[in-house]
Amino acid sequence: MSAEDAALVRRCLRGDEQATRALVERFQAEVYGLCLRVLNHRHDAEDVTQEVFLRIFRSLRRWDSSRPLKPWIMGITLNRCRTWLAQRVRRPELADYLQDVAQSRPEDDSAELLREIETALAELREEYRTVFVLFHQQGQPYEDIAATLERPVGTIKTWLHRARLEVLERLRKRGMVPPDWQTGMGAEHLPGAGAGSGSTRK
Amino acid sequence: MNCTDHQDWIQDYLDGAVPADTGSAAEHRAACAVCRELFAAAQRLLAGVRQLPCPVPPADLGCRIVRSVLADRRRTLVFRRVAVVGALAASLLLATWFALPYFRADVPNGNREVVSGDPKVPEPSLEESLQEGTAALMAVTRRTTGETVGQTRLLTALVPEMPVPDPQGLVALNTPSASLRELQESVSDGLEPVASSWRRAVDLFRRNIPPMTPPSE
Repeated sequence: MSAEDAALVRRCLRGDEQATRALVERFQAEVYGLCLRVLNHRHDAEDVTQEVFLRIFRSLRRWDSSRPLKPWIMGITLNRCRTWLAQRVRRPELADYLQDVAQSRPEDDSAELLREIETALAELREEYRTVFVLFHQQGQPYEDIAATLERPVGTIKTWLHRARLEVLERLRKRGMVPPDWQTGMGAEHLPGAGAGSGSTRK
Repeated sequence: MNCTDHQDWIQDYLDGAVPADTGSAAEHRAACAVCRELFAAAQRLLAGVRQLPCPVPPADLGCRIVRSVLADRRRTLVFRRVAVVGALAASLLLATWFALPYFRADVPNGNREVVSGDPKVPEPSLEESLQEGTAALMAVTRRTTGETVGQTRLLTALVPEMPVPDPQGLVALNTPSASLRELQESVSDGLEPVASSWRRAVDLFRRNIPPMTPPSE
């Protein structure tokens, strides 16, 4: 994969338009998906996605071909998202993700479960949410996520575990999971339990 | 396995690293209701996460991105070309400005003169220049003196003859000067110098003297 990436990048640097289109088509879904999860706003996600690719092509010469391309691209995406969040003034609207999906809605309470999971994700801290999305939605391994966020693998695992626990806690409060799993668990079953209930840090 | 170990096992399960019913974990869940329900919650979360819709970008987003990238690339190329041409022009101007003095030949004492168009004419040495200057000065002095004497003679011719005074009635003149040298000095003292230095005298006479033709070879 890295040899293919390197060949594609070389063609892009030579000005090959087809290679440019191929690179955009290959990564635009993941970049857009991450932007949407982090920014929680569809139009902002589109603008930031466009800006991300502009920056990618401007700095393509600085990519180290000995390293995988995807973490480098996702790193740029996250940086742009953070900059955008810092500059944004208006309150973010929660995007209606289910409208973006071309599939039929399940008949059971899965739709409600999905909505609750998405709401729980939106309330997570930015780094917890990012790691959760990169791992569970984009299927990236710990090493790639660590390279993207420029953090140790141990930190990434800790963030992901805490994110899961916070989501589980919210689902429990909303009645989406069996209510008794926290009964008798005490503090040892919820690291940071005092701050874990409905934290809204982003 | 205790509850803490089972919690760690739950994380591995959510990572997809372990199957659902691993021996010691299953045994612990059979004995611990809390961990059994935690496992159920984790299963529900995993099922929900797997059904989470992947955000689909708008259909035209890819085209918009490619268009903006290509336009940005064209702008960058134009800017680079303008910058290179500007830098080259500035370098050329600087090089010309610094090299301009070297196109003029300098004499050792700092005077400048236009380079002779005839490379075969050797430049005169310092001694030759001094000799020429001295000869030119003497020539101009003779000419000036000659003109003065000639005009004086004309004036003298117009003056009527006067009777020669009685030598005895004349007031005794001063005794003559001690030597001819003193006479010459007294005469030269009255003359105003042509120039304050031989250099200026040379320049002055060069302007008045017709150009000398080089000796034919």
